[in-house]
Amino acid sequence: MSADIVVQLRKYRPAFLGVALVLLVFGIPPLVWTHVEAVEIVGVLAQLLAWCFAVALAAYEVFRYLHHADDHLLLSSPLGARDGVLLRVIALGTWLAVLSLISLTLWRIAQWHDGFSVSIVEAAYYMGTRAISFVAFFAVTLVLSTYAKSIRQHSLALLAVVVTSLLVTAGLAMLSLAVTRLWHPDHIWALGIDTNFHGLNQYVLVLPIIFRPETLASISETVLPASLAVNTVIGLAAFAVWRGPIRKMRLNFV
Amino acid sequence: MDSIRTTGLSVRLGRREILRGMSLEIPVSGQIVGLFGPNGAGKTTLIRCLVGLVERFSGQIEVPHGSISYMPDHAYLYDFLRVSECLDLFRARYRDFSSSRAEKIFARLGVEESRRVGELSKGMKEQLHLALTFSRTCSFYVLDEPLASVDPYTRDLLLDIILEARAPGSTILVSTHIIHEVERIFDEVVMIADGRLLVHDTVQAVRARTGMSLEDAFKREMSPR
Repeated sequence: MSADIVVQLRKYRPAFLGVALVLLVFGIPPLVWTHVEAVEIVGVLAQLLAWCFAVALAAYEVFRYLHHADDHLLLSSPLGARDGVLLRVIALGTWLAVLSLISLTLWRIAQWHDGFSVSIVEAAYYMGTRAISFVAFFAVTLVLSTYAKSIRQHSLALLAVVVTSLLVTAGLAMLSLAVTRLWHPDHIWALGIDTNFHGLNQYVLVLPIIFRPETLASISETVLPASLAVNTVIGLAAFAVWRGPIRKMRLNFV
Repeated sequence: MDSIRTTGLSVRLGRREILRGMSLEIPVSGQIVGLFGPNGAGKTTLIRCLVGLVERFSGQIEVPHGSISYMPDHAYLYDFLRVSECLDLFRARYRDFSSSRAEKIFARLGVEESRRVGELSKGMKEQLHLALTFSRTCSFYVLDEPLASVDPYTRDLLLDIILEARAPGSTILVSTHIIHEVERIFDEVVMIADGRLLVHDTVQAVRARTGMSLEDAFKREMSPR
């Protein structure tokens, strides 16, 4: 199994090393020319696009394995055609974790520049939320892509997965906000880019969301276990569906 | 004795019914079986049913105990892998894989282990895939169009390798369009069209019954369609 994972890691090495390079090329200048707005905006936008590409590629490769079923090297793995997708998920998840480490390093340096210190706990929370968000993201993608196998036309199935993913993500974002507000009723939320934000992003699947008090005093105020719990529950539930009811579905890998 | 058996096997992909109630029994007794049929007859679907890639079917499928070594109808090894890395991967994957057998076949075919799969010609890739398929010890070998892209000289070499892989406890099923050039290796033939079984018999019986070569017998079977 490990030999297969190494092969899968190598399969995606060019694409993800390319994304890593973009993260570094556009992540380092804002650390050198601090508070130059143009540099900050270009840097953040480029990093955001690089992340979108990495996540879209990861989701598409899972969909493609299950729906196109044309990767006979993986389909013929001793795990079997159905579970072979896990080898791909592990490889793609590992690459996303590598990208997260690069982002974490850049983020820590930026916080240090701005006079915010990042504790080990906060750094661990950063990586932990990312890791859990990836697990939830892949579990939901597996469930949706498998159900989409009932649609034979690839483009229609892909469209169905994309639309459903967006709806699920939006619903989960609202749930996450509602759960967070049970403990922090005064927290506000934001989507997208905020170069003045010095806290930790929360994740709904792989969508970053800012939940924070009106006036943020320290990074620790954005360590929100309630939001983390939502992702964890969703990830576990989706994986349980994939290992449970979906195992009873008869699939064609053709 | 183990058998490969399908009973009333039907497969529908979308609106098309690819296999229509196919019942077939091939005893595992060391024979090589040719699977013939025109384009769209359902050969690849039948093969994918037998190797477990098609789960949505009606009817029954039984395959012999033990592992199946399958060569799909297209190159499937990643281009960035070196031949030696393919060997390592198969060795890590399958307990029944013999590196020494693979190396012997590579040497015979002139496949260099240092080359990347992407550097190999289409024919060389087929040779590599076939070598890896037959470097395992299985009770059932399934080859989907393994000889489509090789030159006549290499085809003979590959046919010899298939013949040498024949063992009493195994069956080799080979789907092919090139009947005339390869018919010498077959012990049995299965002819299908429109998802239905037309002929399943020994080569000797087909020749004796029709007085023709396999290819001519196949053409005659197909001519009313």
